[in-house]
Amino acid sequence: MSFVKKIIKPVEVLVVASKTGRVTIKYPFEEPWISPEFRGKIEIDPTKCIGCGACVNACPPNALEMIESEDKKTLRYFVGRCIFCWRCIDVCPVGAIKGTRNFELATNDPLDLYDYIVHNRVKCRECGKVTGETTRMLKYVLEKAFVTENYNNKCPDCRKKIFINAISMRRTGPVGEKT
Amino acid sequence: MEFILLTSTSITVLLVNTILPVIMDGVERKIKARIQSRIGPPIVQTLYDLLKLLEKEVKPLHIMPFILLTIIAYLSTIIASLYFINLYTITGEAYYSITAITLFAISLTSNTLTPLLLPSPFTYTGGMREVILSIVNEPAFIVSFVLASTSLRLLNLQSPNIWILIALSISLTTLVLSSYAITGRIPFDIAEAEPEIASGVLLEFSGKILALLLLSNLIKRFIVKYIVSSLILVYIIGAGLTCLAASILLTIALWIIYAIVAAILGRSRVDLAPITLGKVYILLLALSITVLLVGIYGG
Amino acid sequence: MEGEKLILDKYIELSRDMGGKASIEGDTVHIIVPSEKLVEAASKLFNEYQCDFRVCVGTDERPLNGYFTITHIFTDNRNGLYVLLKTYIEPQDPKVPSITNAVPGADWCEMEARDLLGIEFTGRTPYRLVLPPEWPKGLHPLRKDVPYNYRPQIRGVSEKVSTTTETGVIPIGPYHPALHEPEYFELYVEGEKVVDVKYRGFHVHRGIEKLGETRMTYQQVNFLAERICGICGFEHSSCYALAVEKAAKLDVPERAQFIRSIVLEVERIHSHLLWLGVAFHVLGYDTGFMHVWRIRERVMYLAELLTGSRKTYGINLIGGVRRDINEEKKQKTLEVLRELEKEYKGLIEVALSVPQVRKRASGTGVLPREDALKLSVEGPTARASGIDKDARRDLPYAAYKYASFRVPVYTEGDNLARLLVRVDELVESMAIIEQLLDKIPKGPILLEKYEIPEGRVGVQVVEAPRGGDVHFVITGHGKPYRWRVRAPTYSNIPALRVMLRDQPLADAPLTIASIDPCFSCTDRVLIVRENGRREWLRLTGGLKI
Ligand code: SF4
Ligand code: SF4
Repeated sequence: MSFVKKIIKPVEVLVVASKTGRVTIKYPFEEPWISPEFRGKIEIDPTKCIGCGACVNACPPNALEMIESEDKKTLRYFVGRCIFCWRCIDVCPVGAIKGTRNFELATNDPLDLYDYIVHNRVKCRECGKVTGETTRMLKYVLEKAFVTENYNNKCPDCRKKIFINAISMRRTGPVGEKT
Repeated sequence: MEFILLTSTSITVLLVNTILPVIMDGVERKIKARIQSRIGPPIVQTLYDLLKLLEKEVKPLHIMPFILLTIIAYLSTIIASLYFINLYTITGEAYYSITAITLFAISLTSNTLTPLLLPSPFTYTGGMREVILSIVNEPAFIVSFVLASTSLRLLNLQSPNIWILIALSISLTTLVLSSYAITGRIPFDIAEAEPEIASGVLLEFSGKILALLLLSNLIKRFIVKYIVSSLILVYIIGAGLTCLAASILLTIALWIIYAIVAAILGRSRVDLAPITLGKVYILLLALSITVLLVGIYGG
Repeated sequence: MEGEKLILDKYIELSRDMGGKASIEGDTVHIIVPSEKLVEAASKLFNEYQCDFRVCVGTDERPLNGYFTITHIFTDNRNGLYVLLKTYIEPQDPKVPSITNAVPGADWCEMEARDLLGIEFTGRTPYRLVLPPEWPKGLHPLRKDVPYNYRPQIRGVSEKVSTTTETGVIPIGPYHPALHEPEYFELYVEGEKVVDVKYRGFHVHRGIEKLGETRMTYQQVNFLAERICGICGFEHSSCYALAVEKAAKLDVPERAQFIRSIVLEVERIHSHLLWLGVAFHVLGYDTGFMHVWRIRERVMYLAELLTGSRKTYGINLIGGVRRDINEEKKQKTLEVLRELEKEYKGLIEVALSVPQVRKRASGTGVLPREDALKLSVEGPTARASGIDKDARRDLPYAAYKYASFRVPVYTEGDNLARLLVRVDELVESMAIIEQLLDKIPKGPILLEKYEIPEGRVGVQVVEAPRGGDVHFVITGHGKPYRWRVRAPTYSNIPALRVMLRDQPLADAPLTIASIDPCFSCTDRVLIVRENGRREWLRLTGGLKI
């Protein structure tokens, strides 16, 4: 009897199958099975982003890049490289990046794979040189830190110069260009 | 007049017979999917596949004429064989059935030879595997067919000879078993299965040629079951058009059973399959011959 | 602790005998010996102290101290110790004696160091392993003076399939429907019997180590490490994080370690289920394949729920993990596990009753215990050949010391044994997750502030589904100075030589699949065929074992 049972055993898969029913779905016509925790494509809110570049530093595969030009700073997001780790969300100081559950990213137009956020770069009030910061970053720093706008909108070189000037003024009077 | 009627009927049925295997393959895929808890492709998927293949270009092989020759031989003999089975079911004449099975044997041989003509090592090894399997299967199929039909002829329903009955059941078992093995389903799909590394008798074929080969393979699957069904049904309900319809239905039923069996088994090993099969066949055939002889002379 | 003292003394004594010095840091014994004593010391560790050889690491330490170094990593599984045997090599004409005669398993890592760092090994036949044949001579990419983005101009040369008259040649790959990754085999057959094999790997050598040492930061490497393997990536990122944490002596929150262990086991379950499916597919039992993968889908969903991704979970950071397991997830996990266990047990019973599965797996691809020991094989391949080793128990990491589990060991060494080891391990893994979820402590999951000092060494073994992953890290400035990865398949492929030898061709696919090879994460293999007809499989590049 046990011998017969052993031979019959493989047939039990029919029982398994009938109990389970069909598990595949007619994707894309039906909703895929995604958990609420799923990490998909990210979305950067251009109104919130201050262009600080923290996400660029954190992003492991360089999906986020900061492209710098004469007077602009452009944050570029390329979905093709993104590994959906959401590290950028962790590090963004202003919460400009939002995670979505979107993973259906195929497209006919390669341009759809890129997102750009363009920031203006700040000009130094003193010498007119373009600094690394964006206008929004300056605003953010003003809100957060105890600095005056007058200090903030100058480039580091000018700040140094002004600082040294101020100190030397106190000691010996104005110093020449050479110092 | 009667001959014309006969011919036209069997040609009509022939058309049905060539379409049916394609549909049945779709059904088989659906059954397999069901057993694997999948939705599976639509039933007409095999038809789509074949139609698509017909549109594709053919990758030329340098021994094309030979290949074409064997494929055409395969296809024509297999269709001729179908035709004669139809004739047999309608008329019940034994020589039709003998012609059918002879043609079938020829077609199988030409089919197994095709891959051996190709220079690819995969195809060659796969072809050798197929040859080994068919060396075992085909004789068993034919011998058991002959034995079964002899027993059927000898069997007198009013006073059944117990020996002949036993011989009949053994030979029918062998017939069904070998008909299953000839269809190249799991566990005997060794020559075509992709995970078996050196397999792939169909590897070098493409486009229309591949479509033709696939179609003929499907018809082959149909025929082996059809021969068995008609053999049994001609005896039970007598020859005629009802028998023809019934045979086709029985073939469909057998196809479904075979599909289920194939889904719940694994693939046998290339060297084990022929040896095991061979042993089983020899045992069963020897047994049924002995019993039949006892039935004829002893009883 | 008396016993431990004695054991440590043993290693200190060994180093003194060899004219070197030893130091102990945590669970790691660092032994530095002069190069002429290297072979003797290695052979003593391997044969006398029965240490397990894991891998060797070549390092370009010239910017630090002016030398090349080679470090052989052993583990003392009985006492839970890592033993690093290091020697300094002169930077001009770097030469060091090979230990392959004493420790056969060191074959590939030596050749890898030769290719990537230009260290010559004396006393053995060298061959090119990692770099493509056309790669310029004298250019060794892992040396610190080679920039990571340097690309030499090389023209690809196509190779001809070697043909012989006596045997048939069956080329498989680099692309073949039966292979899941690019690798190339040439099987030499007589009839249906395999008499020889040539293997060419490294089509997907990605220079990950170089990338981690140059372009990335400590935290970014976690994500890179996870992508070493598509199936057991979390083991790699955990191993890397643990190695760095060990080097920097970080005190990682317990809760984070529990979560790591739980996710590691989730990964093991899905990986073993995946393998079972593949094995059934190879055996032609597609129904089993589909059903195993169907229940695997639950595990994938579970992983996604716990980490946010079906695969490449991306939750490891140095100092902890990024996703917590709350009460709701805990309940959900337990529920999934219960269902899974029930379904799995029923299914596996049916699948193993299929006559072809048992018949084809038993007695084929046998790896005897002696060969397995000599080649230092890993994971289920070792455990199916009667070697009782499992890093989770022997070298406890993460939170494994809080779980009790059985390590299944079989002695037959055939394909069936390797299958059964995995079948049993699956049940154990489910039990481990349940235990850990029960005991998980409260607290933070990530270390907020920490510092990683430069020049520290950390080495970690993590038991991946295929065997032990080894990560070796020398800390550097903001990123690892040296990061060496060894995937388990790296150790297991040489064993294929023994398993495939004189076996029917029909068994080859199953046997190759039975070590659960992962070529992309290994890709460090070469089998060279020697002339002559009855040559055995030269999976170890002409090395006599
Ligand atoms: S999700 Fe990860 S990979 Fe994608 S942009 Fe953010 S940090 Fe980069
Ligand atoms: S971290 Fe946030 S604010 Fe800074 S650049 Fe990225 S998205 Fe913008």
